[in-house]
Amino acid sequence: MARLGKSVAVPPEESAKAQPPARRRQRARRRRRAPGWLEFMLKRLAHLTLVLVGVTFLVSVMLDFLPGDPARAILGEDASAEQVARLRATLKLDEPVWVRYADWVTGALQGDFGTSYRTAQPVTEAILQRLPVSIQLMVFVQVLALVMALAAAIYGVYRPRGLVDRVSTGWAFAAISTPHFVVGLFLVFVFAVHLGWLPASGYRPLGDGLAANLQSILLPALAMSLEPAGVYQRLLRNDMQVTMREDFILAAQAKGMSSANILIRQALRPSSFSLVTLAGINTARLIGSAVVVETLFAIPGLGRLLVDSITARDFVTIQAVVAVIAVAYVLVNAAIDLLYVLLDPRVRSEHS
Amino acid sequence: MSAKPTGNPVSAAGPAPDAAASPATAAPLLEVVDLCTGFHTPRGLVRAVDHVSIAVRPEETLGIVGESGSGKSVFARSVMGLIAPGQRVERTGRIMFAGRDLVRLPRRELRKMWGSEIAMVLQDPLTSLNPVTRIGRQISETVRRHRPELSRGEAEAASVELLRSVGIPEPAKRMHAYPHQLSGGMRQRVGIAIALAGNPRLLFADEPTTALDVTVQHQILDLLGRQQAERHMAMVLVTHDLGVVATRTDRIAVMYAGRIVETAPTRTLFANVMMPYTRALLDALPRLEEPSHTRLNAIPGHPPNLAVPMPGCRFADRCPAARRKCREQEPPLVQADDPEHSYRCWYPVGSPEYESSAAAGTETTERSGSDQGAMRER
Ligand SMILES: Nc1ncnc2c1ncn2[C@@H]1O[C@H](COP(=O)(O)OP(=O)(O)OP(=O)(O)O)[C@@H](O)[C@H]1O
Ligand code: SF4
Ligand SMILES: [Mg+2]
Repeated sequence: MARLGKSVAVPPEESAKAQPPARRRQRARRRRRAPGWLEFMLKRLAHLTLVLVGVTFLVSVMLDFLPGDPARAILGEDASAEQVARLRATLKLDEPVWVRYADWVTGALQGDFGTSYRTAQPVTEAILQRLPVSIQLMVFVQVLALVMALAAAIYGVYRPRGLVDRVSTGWAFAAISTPHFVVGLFLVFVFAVHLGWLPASGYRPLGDGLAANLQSILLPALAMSLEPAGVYQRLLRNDMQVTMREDFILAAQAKGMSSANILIRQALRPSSFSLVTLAGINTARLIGSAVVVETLFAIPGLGRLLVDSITARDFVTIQAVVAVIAVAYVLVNAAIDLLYVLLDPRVRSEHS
Repeated sequence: MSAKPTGNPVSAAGPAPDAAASPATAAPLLEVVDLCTGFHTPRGLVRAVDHVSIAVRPEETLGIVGESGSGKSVFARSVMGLIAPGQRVERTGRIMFAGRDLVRLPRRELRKMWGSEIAMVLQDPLTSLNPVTRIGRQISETVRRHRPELSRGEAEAASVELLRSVGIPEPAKRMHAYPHQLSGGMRQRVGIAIALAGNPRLLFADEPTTALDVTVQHQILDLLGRQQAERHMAMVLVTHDLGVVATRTDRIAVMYAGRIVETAPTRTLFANVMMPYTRALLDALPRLEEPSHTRLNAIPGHPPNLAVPMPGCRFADRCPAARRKCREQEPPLVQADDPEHSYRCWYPVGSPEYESSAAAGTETTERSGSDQGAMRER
């Protein structure tokens, strides 16, 4: 028996006298807005710095934890003494960790992350090649997942326990519990091997034409998006169902609004707060966890760069990639906070 | 006290032979016949509205009074057909509105009547406005829905006008406010403006002042009365406070456990209460020194569980005059002296059985003489 309890809150008195203070309060609110925002941005900046310094310093420290001579450990027993000496110099292993770290920060601030001793390529260049690919894949995955989830969730709320609702719920549970690479292999088998509609692997940059680019990214994006789509669909459907029991939905019906208006314009936004949080967390996670799918489809993204560097103990690259992912993580979190403010005016007045 | 069964409960409310007796009568705008609304729940069918028959004439105000859980809201919502989708609801009976039976009307047709023929003001103005939308848009989308020929700008202008008509100062500025930035009374005025946007012929006001401050309550009720008169609207004012409906309604229906237990023109009812439950509601009215919206918790005991069918009178467990017959047979709706007044009771107020039991019980009899005075003071 889901009945809402009675609100016993006693609202402020509504008399002619009460108005000037109210207006004054509003003006004061407006005046205080700027510092509110400044404070918000400063907090975010502090957060960003803390996370960045934390994770990148950790990578520097890790060198000291390698057994014996780190350079020898990295290069292996077959390396010549000369090679080891060169790596010791590159990694500045003779310096204490804070000097090493300070050097790295100085370089990083100027956009110089050093040169990979695995590929002899400047790390900045490697990252700039791969970052757009990763971002494109991630955006694609998110858009696909959100479109699928929104359609299924909204229709499921429109016709609860109907065919679409039941099928999409079952589908969501299956998608949530299936690893990306299994979905990927299945998609490759159906669409590349069997039907031959899409390439089985390989990435075509935008320079090769939009169609070729989209074709090369569709299967990997689909493979990665089913799982988040399932999670988003469950979350949004449940939140929307709760919203649909709210008084303001009843009021919107009573004032004559159409079903489409009620679902999309009235119920969706107040139901999307947890979805926004989750999708935001996923954004950064997807960049890092794309490794398997990037490998399966031979896509030159950051995930693969990270894994290849870890296998090769390429600390110069690892440190830079970790920094980039950390920045992405913090930026996305700040974006979510801003999005909250846009979505919910009640948060807006709290902030200011 | 002669009480003859009327057979057809509707006649008490109005259309046919008796109707001609009163000069104020006209063909009803809304005529509800034997409405039953039940919710299928794990504990069984909850009969929230059980064979309710009532009529509302054009421009008339009907008060529906009863304790919490007596089925007032479910009644109002099921008349409109506004039970949320996905709930397992059973609704039977007839709801004639402007010549059409709303129970049988397809949902698509019904939706066209929401807001433009029948509208509703809900109890809590904070939860009944969308928290993330500016009130300007909440009103103007309603205006445009009912008058699609208006441009965006014209709809905005009409919305400002509506806000002004419900007494909101600086309406153009308030259009940009969010619900949480307004006071409770202002919010309820917005809720009323929205309900009026489609120029409905019938307005359900479901406890429109319960969530509000005492001083604001009267302003809101006055506003509703004024708008009703200006727009020649009929209104169903739902409340748990007999005091609220005493001076603001033409007729009153008292609900208990899903049933109408007494209905009469307001004057008649207060002059001549027949049903012990109505009597108890009156006695539970707060004295003048208490806040006027004190909840009706003064009647000892609880309403019955609606999922369990009862053989006898539903008030029997709490009634001072209850006897064996009350527990075995449900009293039918019978007519009192006034043909518009009917009630359900075997031993009504004034009968020797009631008076002897009540005298043995509480101070009920002592207060009964002063209720008319109390009514006028409110
Ligand atoms: N969706 C539902 N499912 C099951 N039972 C319900 C549902 N909605 C209402 N009821 C039951 O119907 C009965 C009547 O409820 P209703 O809301 O109409 O009471 P009310 O007279 O409006 O009371 P209040 O003064 O508290 O608003 C209650 O017993 C309630 O528990
Ligand atoms: S029928 Fe009996 S129990 Fe019911 S109200 Fe009348 S006297 Fe009381
Ligand atoms: Mg109610």
